[in-house]
Amino acid sequence: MKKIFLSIIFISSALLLFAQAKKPTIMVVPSDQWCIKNGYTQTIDIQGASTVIPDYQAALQNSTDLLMAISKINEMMTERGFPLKNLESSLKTLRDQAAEDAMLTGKEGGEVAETPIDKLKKVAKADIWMQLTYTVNQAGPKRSLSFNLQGLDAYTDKQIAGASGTSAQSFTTEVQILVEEAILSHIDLFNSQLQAHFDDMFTNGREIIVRIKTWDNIGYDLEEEFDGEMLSTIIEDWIADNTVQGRFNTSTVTENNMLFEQVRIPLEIEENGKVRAIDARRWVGMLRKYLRDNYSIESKLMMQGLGQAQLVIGAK
Amino acid sequence: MSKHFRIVIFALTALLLASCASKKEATANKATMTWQYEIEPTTGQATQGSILVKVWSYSGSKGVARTLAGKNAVHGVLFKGVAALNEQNARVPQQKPIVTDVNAEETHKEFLNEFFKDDGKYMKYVNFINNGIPAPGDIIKVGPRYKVGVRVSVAKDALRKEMEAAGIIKSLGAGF
Repeated sequence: MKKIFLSIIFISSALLLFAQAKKPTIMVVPSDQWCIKNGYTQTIDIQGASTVIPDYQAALQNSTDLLMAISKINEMMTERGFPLKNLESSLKTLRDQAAEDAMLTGKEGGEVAETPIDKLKKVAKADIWMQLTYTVNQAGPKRSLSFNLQGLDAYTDKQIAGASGTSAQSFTTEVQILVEEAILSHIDLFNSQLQAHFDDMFTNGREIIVRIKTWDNIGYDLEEEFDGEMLSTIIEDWIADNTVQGRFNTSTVTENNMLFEQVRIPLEIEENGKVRAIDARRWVGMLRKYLRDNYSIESKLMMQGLGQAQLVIGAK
Repeated sequence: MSKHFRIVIFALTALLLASCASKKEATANKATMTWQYEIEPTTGQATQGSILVKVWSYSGSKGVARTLAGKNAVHGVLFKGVAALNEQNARVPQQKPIVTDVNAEETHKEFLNEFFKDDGKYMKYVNFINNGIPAPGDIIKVGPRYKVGVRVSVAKDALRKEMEAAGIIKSLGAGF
């Protein structure tokens, strides 16, 4: 009996030890401003309006400075124990995957199922973007480099870290050397802010955004009452009960839409005696289950990375 | 008798001098443990992962103040950070302290005392520029003490790794 008890204790502690928070992915990209200034853009038509977007592939294929800068930042971050996702490799994987999907047919002649949403989401993704901008300033024979590195949360749009500055004027002609110097001098400051962001996340929970929508053909909306409570209030109360210290902001509430920002969710939860690391999808999945089990409301859950999830009420 | 007397006098003088020197050193060490120094950025060549700083240490003896510069430089990079340098021809961005927990010195007292003892592990992370000899004008008499400025290179990346290994700070990927 004692042996069984000890084994249970051992297994529980092992589970607790191995449950680790989901690690955010970070990717370095050139800023839109840098891409436009250097001519690495493409124009696309979005519902009749032509929009200029950065062409990362062209930038990486043509700018040695950029490739070197990204490689240097990746090297420095790996040295700090946080390897980054590489933009060039991500773009290559997306191309390979698209080619593979196009050629794939099953034995019965079926093709890979893909909704318009799946197509839309086939882009290089990261949880934190490290957005890089640099400009070479010329003053007579001397040059200096203005440098800006921003760490942006892909879901909350917050700048979580940053380092910027202009180097001293020098006769150095190679841009690569100026860029390397700038990265070496600024990366520590950037990392100390990134560390502070992670520390805050471990203390106060992961910050996410939750969107609630309704299908237009379900015959009710968020103002419908269930057991004497409006559906929007039921959802809001569930969020209040399940956030870290009840931290969240209700930004928008209409009969069809709800937007919750600065929602602080725990990094891990206990489920069936096991500790699980959770993200926005899993957390909003708990809300979906709550609505189904208590009010017989079905809903469709959609995710966007670790920090954004959407629940469409009414049907799957 | 006179020979014996001379030997005794000689031994006593040597003992007195030695005790004076060790007293000076002890006073200087005491001053170090209260961390009386100033740290500022400086320019020059340093290897990747190192930072160049100028440390102003205080002591009754010029020599002792100079040798304390290494300890002070490492302590400064760890706990104080270094301000930015914004001059026309030299720019160095601000260096935040490696250890940001304000209670770390108290919490890890035992480790840090061992780390900063004379010829302790801190020596691994220090490299004296110009052999630790202060530049002209960098020895200033301030009341009964000397203020001595020495340029030192501190291997900050290696130092950070040591602190991570000792559990004083976390690595960027820790907890994931």
